[in-house]
Amino acid sequence: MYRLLSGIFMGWSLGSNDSANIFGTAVFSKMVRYRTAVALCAVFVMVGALLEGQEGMHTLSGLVKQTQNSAFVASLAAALTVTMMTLLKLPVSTSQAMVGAILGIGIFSGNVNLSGLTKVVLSWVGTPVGTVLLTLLFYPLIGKILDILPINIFTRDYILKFGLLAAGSYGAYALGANNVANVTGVYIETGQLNVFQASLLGGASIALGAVTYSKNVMLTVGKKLVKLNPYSAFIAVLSQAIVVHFYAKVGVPVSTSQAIIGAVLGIGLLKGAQTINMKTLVSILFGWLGTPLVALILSYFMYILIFPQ
Amino acid sequence: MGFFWKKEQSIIDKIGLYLDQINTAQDLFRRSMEELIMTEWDGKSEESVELVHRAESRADDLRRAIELELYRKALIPESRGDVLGLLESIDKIPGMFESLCYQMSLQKILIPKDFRERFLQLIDVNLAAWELLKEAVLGLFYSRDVKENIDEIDNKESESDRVERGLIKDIFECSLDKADKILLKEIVVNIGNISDLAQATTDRLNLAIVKRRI
Repeated sequence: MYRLLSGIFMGWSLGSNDSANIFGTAVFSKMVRYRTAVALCAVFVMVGALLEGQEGMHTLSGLVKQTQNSAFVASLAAALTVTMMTLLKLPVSTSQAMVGAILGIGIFSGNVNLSGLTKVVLSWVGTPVGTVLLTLLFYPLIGKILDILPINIFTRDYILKFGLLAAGSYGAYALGANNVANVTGVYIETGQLNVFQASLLGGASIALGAVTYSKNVMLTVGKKLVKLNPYSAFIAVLSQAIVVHFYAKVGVPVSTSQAIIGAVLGIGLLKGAQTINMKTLVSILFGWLGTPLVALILSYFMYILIFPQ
Repeated sequence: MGFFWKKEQSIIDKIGLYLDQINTAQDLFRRSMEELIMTEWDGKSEESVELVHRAESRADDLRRAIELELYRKALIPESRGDVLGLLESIDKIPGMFESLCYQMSLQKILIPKDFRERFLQLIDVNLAAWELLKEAVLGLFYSRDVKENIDEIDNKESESDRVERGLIKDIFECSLDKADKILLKEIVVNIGNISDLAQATTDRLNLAIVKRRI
């Protein structure tokens, strides 16, 4: 049973980090209260995990054959990678850490499903590209509709506020559906949990992270993105939610951070402003390469250390 | 739907009341200035100046109440900043009504007969700019197109500048004492400030509208 703790730790850390990508801007700019954001986040993460979390679990559990011990190590290595990189203030993606950790085990035991891995890596690239494209589509389209509507400043604010809450809730749903596999997916293959139990435990631990430890991250992320006006923030969160949800359907856990970065880049392209610098692009590349590599090495050696053959 | 809009409608109603109160101050200002300009100084105008002061204070009270309500429960921060900035800018106009009346009465300024009609003309042009501004501000809250009002305010401001320049030129060409000329010029400039303030507020209003166009 103690082997599940590393999964819960992983979920908690994911919830405390990634809920910021969804409600950070709205909370920091005081458009949505922190309590409201966190409550919506917790509820919709759970709903998303329970209703649509299964696909990603199949992909992750299909990457490498797991034992109870290897599942424990993979989760722990991924969670430690995320925690360590967060402490070092390095960019980190939970999905990419988890895949790296699973691969570490796979290399150790000599079984890796390469076609599954290709699908995962393609989806990583597709995430920021997808949000850039959606932002380029939605920004002018929804803007045109808002401009045509005969509404006053108060009604417009209501629509934006409601839009941010709705897009944020949808984003939380997508986060639960997409990322729950990172948290408890490895325990299905080993038979420690069935799909429903894994969704429930994973969703609950992400929600716990959002409720207990997301405030500071939310404010930091919000501060970084605060240059977005409420309309741009709404479009960014909506695009992110759709892309993350799409990959939940495909069954590949992706990074919500990279999704939101893509959306902000899209808005920058439309407005002719420099919203993303080289540092941010390097951080995405590091997410694709560095994070899985660190997790891979960590899980490989942890497995050798903890369970020497 | 109406239930959700109730508190916003209450603020819009209060803004309407605030603008009406400035209109009251404007009417009293016009009456008081006419008394001060057309009659020799006899101390009787003090009562009408006091009425302008009271109307301005009531407008101030209404503005503060709206500001508090805005802070407490309405609008997202970006829009709140725009509306508060707009109210602060509008508020300078009744302030100008009051200070002009005090300037005339405390300094016991006498307007020479030859200039009286033109002073009243200048006041009317400037008050017309305020009337247009009021309609434009209401347009922001009632989703009306205000472009025509904005253009018209600009025209009134230019007209005011023309009348102002002509008056100052003639004042300094007449036989009055230099000190009197300077006092009269100050009154002319301050009356002209009303349309300048209206235009500055229009600029803010225009920005708030453009910012929301995507």
